[in-house]
Amino acid sequence: MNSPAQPADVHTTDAKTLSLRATLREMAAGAVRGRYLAWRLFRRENKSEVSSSFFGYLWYFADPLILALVFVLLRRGGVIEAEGMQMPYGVYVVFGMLLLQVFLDSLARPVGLIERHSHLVTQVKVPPESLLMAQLLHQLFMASFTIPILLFVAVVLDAFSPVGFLIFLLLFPVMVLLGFSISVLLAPLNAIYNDVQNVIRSLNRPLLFLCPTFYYAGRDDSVLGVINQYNPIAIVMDNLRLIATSGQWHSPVSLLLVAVGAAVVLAGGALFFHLAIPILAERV
Amino acid sequence: MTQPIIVAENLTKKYARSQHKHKRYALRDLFAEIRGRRPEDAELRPDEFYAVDDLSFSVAPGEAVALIGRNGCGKSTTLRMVAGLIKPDRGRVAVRGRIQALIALGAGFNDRLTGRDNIFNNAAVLGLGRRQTDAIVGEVIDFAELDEFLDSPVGTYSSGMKARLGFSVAVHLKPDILVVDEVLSVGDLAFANKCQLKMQQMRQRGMTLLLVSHATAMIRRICDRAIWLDRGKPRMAGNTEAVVDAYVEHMSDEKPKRKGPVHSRFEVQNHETSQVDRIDAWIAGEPGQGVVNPLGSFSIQFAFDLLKPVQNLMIGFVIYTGDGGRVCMQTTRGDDRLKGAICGRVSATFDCVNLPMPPGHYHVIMIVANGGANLFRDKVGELRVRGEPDKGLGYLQMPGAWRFELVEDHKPAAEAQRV
Repeated sequence: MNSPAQPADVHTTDAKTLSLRATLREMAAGAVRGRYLAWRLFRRENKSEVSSSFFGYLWYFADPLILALVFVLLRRGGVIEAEGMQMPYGVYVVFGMLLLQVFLDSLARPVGLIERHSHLVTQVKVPPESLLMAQLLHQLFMASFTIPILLFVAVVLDAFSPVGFLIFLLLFPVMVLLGFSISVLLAPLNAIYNDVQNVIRSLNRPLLFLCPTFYYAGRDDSVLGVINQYNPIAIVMDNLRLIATSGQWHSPVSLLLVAVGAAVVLAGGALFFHLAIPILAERV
Repeated sequence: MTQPIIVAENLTKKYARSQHKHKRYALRDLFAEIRGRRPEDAELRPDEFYAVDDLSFSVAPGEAVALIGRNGCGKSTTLRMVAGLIKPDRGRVAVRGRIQALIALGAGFNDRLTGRDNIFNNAAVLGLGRRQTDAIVGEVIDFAELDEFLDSPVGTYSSGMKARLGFSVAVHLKPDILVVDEVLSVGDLAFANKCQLKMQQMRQRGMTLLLVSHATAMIRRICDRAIWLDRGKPRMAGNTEAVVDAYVEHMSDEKPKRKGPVHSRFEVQNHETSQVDRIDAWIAGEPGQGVVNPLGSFSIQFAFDLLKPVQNLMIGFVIYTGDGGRVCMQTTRGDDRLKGAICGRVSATFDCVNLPMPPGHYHVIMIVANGGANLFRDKVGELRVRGEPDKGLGYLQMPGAWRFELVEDHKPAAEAQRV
């Protein structure tokens, strides 16, 4: 049973960043070794969420859909201007609200990952990558529920491009990735100070108004125009909305830059997360 | 010489006392780790203390070693460092082989999911893949003895049932090294025995065991060696019996920090002291004070002043083993001679003949009560039963003798002819 001749697993006080290559190898091995655990954790979370609610996943998009209906009513009452939109207002606002919801959920949930799994990381040596993979799967799964609604709205309101929608499906994960990458980077800090989660929560309302969800914002010199020019959420939202409904690109280069940026942030966040777990396991 | 399977050298771990500092240092350590500049030494920062201080030990393959000591002496922190869950602040630990840490049972359990789902989740958390779990799931279910509840949500289980399920998964992983923190006494008595039997089987197959427990009787049964930790520092290490005896002796001799009795192992709590005074106790045995021969005679005499009238006086004593096991309790309950208002100096003697306790060291706790309310309950003396301690286990040395008889003689034929 024992195999004392095998190489020893040595735990020291040395920082893992001193041997970055070894740490990256460890992360890759953790991702491979932890894929079944990630799948089980993903299933566990889903089953647990569904079993505790009668309407299950319906709640995920009920809130933004209700808000979208309110905006449609306001638009009909002439309260909201809808100049410059290349699609029916209903399509614009439903896409805007649901895409923002996908981003906000991808931002809000992973940040509490370490606390939610504190019973695991303090008791068992699990690969941190398995926690990240399980959470990413969960975010993609939840986000996927918006797709049939978006498809339905686009078809019914006659703003549907079959090819464009296929491209939309391919690019849709970028919105998840954007929120997820920022959240993973902040998750270790949130495990120490919950203020991080509170800041994220307080961003929900401002983002609703700062992103082109229910109004059109051109890329002009106005304050909103400048904000939206550099706002990665706005860039992804505008591109996904336009490609799905008309098959046209809004600003593909900006979209590519956002996607690459999110991937880089995610890589850095995953490294930070990996290094942080042994430090935080004694403190959460 | 066999290479050790665990080698810990100068292990040191420090923690902050206040939550505020705890979080501040966490943030500082986190960024030091990112910058690749972990503190080179483990000097204490303000408000910190050493949870483990310069601890070195090694464990040979197949050996069972116990870490003992009071709560907060660093046993669990040491286990976590060995299991690689947390980093030491100084020193190093090297582990050869697949290590399984049982810090708490049922890691990854979700109350809303069924027992069956949770077996798979728990196994995945402990490092098994789908096929490996499929291979052991039948054994796990059999061992846990929870077949009829397996498709019910774990939230409907009692804590004992959850622990049984968690333990069953954990012991079927067949690690090289099992690191266990106070989880061996799970479920009811029968299941706890089954767990300990399983542990012994795993040891016979060569598994190394590093155990933290306060159950000294179990440690004596299972472990080859023990390390006694005191405030993070190693105080004594070596043969289990010697270390556990010294530890138990130390615990029973320890002076209370607060006024009033604190012998928690002997179920002593703070009692009403304003009613009983000038307490004396004598334990007279054969051949001397506090010493008795096996199956010998002894007397316990108590004397005390009752400062206020007591309506329903009850006098008694309890005998405990050094580990805190209650051997017997004798009281005057139901004796009509003590009914009515009694006040003044009282003397009571209990005479015992043919004491049926096995050789060992015992503690005598005296009780004075008014009905069900204790007026006094504290250790008043010790009793040593002389003799060889290896003849049996338990609290009772049964009077009697063995008889032997060869009912059928099955000697080999050649030997029979020679005879």
